[in-house]
Amino acid sequence: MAGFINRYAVWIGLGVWLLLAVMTLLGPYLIPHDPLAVDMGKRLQTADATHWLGTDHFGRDVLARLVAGAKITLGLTLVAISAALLIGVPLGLLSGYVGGVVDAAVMRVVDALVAFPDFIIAISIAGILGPDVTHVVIAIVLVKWIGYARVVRGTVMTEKGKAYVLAARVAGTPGVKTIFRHLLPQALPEVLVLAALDMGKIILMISALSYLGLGAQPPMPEWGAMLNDAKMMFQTHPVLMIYPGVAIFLVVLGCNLLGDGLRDRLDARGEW
Amino acid sequence: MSKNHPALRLGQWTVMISMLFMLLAGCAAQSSGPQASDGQGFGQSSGAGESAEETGAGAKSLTLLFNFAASSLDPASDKKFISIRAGVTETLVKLDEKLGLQPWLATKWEQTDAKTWVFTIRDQVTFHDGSKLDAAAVKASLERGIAQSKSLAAALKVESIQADGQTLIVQTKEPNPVFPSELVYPFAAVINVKAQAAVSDAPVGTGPFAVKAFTPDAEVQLKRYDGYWNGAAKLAEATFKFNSDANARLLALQSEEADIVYHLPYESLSVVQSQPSVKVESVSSLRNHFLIYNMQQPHLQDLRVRQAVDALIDRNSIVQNIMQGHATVAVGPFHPQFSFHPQSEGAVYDPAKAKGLLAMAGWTADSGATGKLTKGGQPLTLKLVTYQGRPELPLIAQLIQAEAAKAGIGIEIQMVENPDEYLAEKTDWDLALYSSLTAPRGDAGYFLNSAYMPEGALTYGKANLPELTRLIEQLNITVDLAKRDELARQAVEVIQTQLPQSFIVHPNMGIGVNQRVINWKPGLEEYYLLTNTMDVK
Repeated sequence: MAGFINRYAVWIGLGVWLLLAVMTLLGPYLIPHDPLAVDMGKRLQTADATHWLGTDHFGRDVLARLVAGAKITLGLTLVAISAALLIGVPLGLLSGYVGGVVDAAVMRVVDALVAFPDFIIAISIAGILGPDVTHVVIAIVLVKWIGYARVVRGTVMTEKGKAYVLAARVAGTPGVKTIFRHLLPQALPEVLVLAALDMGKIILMISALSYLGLGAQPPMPEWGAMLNDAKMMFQTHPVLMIYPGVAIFLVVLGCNLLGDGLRDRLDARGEW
Repeated sequence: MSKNHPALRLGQWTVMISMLFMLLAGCAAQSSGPQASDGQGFGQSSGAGESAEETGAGAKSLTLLFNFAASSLDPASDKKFISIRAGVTETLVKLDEKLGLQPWLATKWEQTDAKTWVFTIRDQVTFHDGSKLDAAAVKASLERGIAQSKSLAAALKVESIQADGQTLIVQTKEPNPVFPSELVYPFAAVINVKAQAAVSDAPVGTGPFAVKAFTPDAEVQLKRYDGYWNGAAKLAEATFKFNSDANARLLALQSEEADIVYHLPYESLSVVQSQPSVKVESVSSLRNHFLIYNMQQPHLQDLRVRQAVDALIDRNSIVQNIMQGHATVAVGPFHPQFSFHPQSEGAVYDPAKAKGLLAMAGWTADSGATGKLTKGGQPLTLKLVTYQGRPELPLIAQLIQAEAAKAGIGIEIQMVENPDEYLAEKTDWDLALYSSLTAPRGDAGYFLNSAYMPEGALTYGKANLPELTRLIEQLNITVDLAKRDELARQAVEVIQTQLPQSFIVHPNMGIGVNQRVINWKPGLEEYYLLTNTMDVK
């Protein structure tokens, strides 16, 4: 079983993502319910032919909300990760290649941020900015760029002393070109693996912040916010917590499998 | 760092899956818990019972879990009123079950002229340190309270206090017809100002319980004061704990860790009722959940827009579906139990009427299919501010949001941590869903003055209604009770026609009580929680 998972990790991960993409794109056509339509007469219904997963405490279709939530969660995650990459990778390249004062300045900031647990920084940033999804994304980006900057800087530091880089420099290649043509491609695989693994963590972080009430605001059907909504009915209607919980679990699992699989494939130094 | 061994990864999976099983097992164990203790007869083996045994043979104790935390016990500054709620301190005058005034530390009082009140202080009352309560002690305590608390100073309007034996003579700066009822205010609780201990940690009062230990924001441990004037408490010890998380409070009740739990989530009341060792007391409260209109916003200055939003509030659905029936529909700010509650009909949920009003106000549906209302190209979008502290408020907000969307009004909900700060400082909000005690001392003056007079503490909507201000000014100098009721009724009529707020529901307090607690009933006033008569089986 472990071997199977290892071998097909990438495909399973991609499969989960594909499923989500299909759900996000086709969901609204397949599910004839508005995720925001309140109908108090139909609140807390159990699953039936019309409402496949039942309704929540406002009579809203749970499946429609899960599907709408997929779009929000995935969209936010992609935005957060892209922004973190756009900040972290250039800073890492610059820091590693230029060295000296620039490196010292960037790395001291990184060291300072690394000294605190991610989640605590994210909570305080989101707390200071006030409850809103955009603020959550900002908080996550501010926490997550550090990892990329460090990884890229490390690779650049090792690579820049190697013969091919020296050769390029001796041949008169401009610094910018050296960075993008020679150093970036070396750093990229590791960054992508890290990004794929982070995706799961970011989804968890968005959900956790929304669960704490700092992220998505009602009636936005974000999964973490749905968990928060359902918290009150934890004892009377536990399924309302189980559905978004399982959704988060599956997506994070998919992200981690994808990340693990990518790492195995892209990393030539591996022993298997 | 960049790579894990596959075996290690498999290990991680095993750990994750086994944790999942442990979690499930934990749930199963929990659900069997209450049944096990039922067999032993109402949880005699519960945590509370054990702690009673620890404190000595036959020593009765009880744990009360409250929803707000206090960082100080000083009666003059603690807005959670813990010292009075925990039975440590007492006031000169108290409220009875029907919210009428009753003598407490004062046995009687009379008004000798417009500005003079004479109180007779109860004889044979002693503080926890054994010193006698006399008029001089009351004077010292009141003067300290007035110096410490602006709101107490504003409520009492004291010019001077004279003490002579057990007679206390108070001169007020201006006629204050509600002076005795203002003394019910927990800020006016009497403490021994000469006591050695810090007032914030261990106020020395006259109540049935003395403070044994206080952990700020966590709990107060209390022990019986044997010299209590009204008969020593039946309980030897009590613990007054704080927890602001509704689910944690619920679990503490179900696990019988706490005997009395305040403010259970409404959704959970049916579950609690099914547990035989516990009963639910659902009592109507003097609180009102209401929607404040920000009268500084141009589109809300139009009465028709406010009326339209009011007509979109489905109060019956809120009572039934959100409050699970544990609430009363509000007609104006005051509870129907009061004599100054007006006879007028309540607001009616009527989306068609709302649409008509909005059309008259010039808001028309845009040409697109969205049905959004616009005026001069501007959409009607309102920002509604509310908070999580009362879990039903965000739900009511969402219901209003959904109804408004059907009528073409966009509502954005924003949760804030500290609503009082936000509403006072920011001007960008349109609607605020808020909750307040409207007649905590059985008198309409408190809410009318704080919500509608310029210097009030709850004037967030900045309503300027001269007619209402005049009525309140008149109320403030009227002594005759029937006339006061009439003025308050007129004030409510003005409020109901001008709609500076939409009053929605009077929520019930859902209080969970373990069956072993006897001789205890929660009061409407939410002031006197621990008493000398309460007992445990």
